[in-house]
Amino acid sequence: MFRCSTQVARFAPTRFAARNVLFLRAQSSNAVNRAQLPFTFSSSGPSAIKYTSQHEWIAAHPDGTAFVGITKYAADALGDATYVELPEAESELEAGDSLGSVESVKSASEIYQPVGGVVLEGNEALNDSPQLINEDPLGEGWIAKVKLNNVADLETDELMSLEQYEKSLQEDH
Amino acid sequence: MGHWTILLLPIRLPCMARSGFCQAKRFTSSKTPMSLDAKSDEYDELNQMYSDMFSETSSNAARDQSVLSEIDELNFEFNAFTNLSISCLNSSQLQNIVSQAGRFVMHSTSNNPFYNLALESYIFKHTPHSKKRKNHNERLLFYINDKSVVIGKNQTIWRELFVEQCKRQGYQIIRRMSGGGAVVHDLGNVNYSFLTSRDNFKREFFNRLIADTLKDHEPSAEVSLSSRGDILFETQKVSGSAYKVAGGKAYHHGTMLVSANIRGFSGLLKPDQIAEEIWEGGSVESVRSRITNIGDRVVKSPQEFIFLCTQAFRKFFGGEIPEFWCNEKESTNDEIVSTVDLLMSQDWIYNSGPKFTLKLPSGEFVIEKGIVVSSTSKEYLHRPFWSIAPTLVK
Repeated sequence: MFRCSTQVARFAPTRFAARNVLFLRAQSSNAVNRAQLPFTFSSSGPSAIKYTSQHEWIAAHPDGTAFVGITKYAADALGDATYVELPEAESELEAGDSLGSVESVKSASEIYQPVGGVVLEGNEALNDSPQLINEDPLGEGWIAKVKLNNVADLETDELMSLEQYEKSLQEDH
Repeated sequence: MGHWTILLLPIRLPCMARSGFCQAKRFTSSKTPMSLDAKSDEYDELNQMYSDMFSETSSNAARDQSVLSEIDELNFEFNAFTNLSISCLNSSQLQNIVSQAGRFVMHSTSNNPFYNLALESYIFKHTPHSKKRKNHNERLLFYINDKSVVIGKNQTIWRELFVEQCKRQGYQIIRRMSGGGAVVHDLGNVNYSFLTSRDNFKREFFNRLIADTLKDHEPSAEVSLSSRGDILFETQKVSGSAYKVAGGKAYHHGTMLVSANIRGFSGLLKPDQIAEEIWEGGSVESVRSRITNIGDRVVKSPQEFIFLCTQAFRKFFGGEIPEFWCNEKESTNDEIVSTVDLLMSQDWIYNSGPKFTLKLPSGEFVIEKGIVVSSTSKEYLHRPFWSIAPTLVK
């Protein structure tokens, strides 16, 4: 995937940085779970994984199908999820539109669509098991499966790589 | 110093007047407490209004704080007992103040729950937020609602409320935009809403501030926080909380029972179990608690509670924090009106909320978006549940 190679090029200016990146990928709890559908949907794995400043992640596959969810950081901050409001299939969403919400400990938190697309399905498993949001937010707890309007939309400065996202968390807290 | 002397002082804190007529100005000064660039005549006028409103605040620093605090409180109470008209924001002032950076305290003089929730939502949505710059945009809003029963965004209305009984007893039914469970409001209950950035948001922060403030104010009062972050007086709950996180911001709004007619609340909220009604589905259930008022024993009036919270907010965040007043007639705009319409709509109140299944001795019903999508009784299929609920459930 050419997108992967540009990412590597951007984040490996020196050997030291490259080693740091690898270390971070292996350690980060905000990395997408490689054993679950958001990762295994296509045999080659996602062609791009991006993060928003609102703590959503999006994993896009070569055919333009993408999975959206919230990060481990966000799930931990929310506390135990009691209800997940899922998007309706066929909803056409622009970047920044509300994709759904998570209720946890009396708090309703909005989830936003990172880039434009059409909702294919919400993760119905969350209806019966909202706790998946806490147990595996970057895997089994994915919230929506969407067909992106244009995969190239992921190449915006608004979205972050895992490394950039982790860095932003350190800067804020 | 006698009361009459005090009452003749300039009144710094106008009342929570119920009157919709708000135009009197009673403050004068040349100081401008907020930095506004005077770009046009319109802004000049606005700037002058800020000057007028906050002149007293600017000169307060020199005075003795404890005396001042007593005077403020007496003024506050005096105003609460009289129906003096006050300066409320007009539409463009509201827009300006909300969308500019900076902290403030906002009071709604309206008792209309739909307007108050819409105003809260407007302030929340338009408070500036930038991930890159550190924000100092904490805001505190107070409002008092007429008799109403308020459920959380993701609750099933018939599971939580005796809907017909609520209507018979004259309580409005409202679905709010935040999470959590069902609460009952009346004019003896104060709603406070603390708004901050998502990054600075801490669930327990504001209730801890209130609990500490009440303990300072009345050291003999047994005020504490429960494990759920609720404020307790002795062993009973006096305040309920709910939260909303959106657009990089968050608010914590809560109720404080000061002098509510708690007896009147009975028969409105359903207990955990109702004979012959089995509810299934993902909706959020209320946690039932025994409630009481803090009036008489901790604070004298809803106004005193508002005053103490305002003071605590100012003390915690420091600096000049202006106070504004809104009413339904003047402090409004298209967005607030359309939010009121949404909140009042059948679709929002009855038809939103999670999918659920109701099992009764007479049959089973699956309801999605307020519509019966499957049922053992074919005559109910595809009908809105609100239209058949009165004959089916308590």
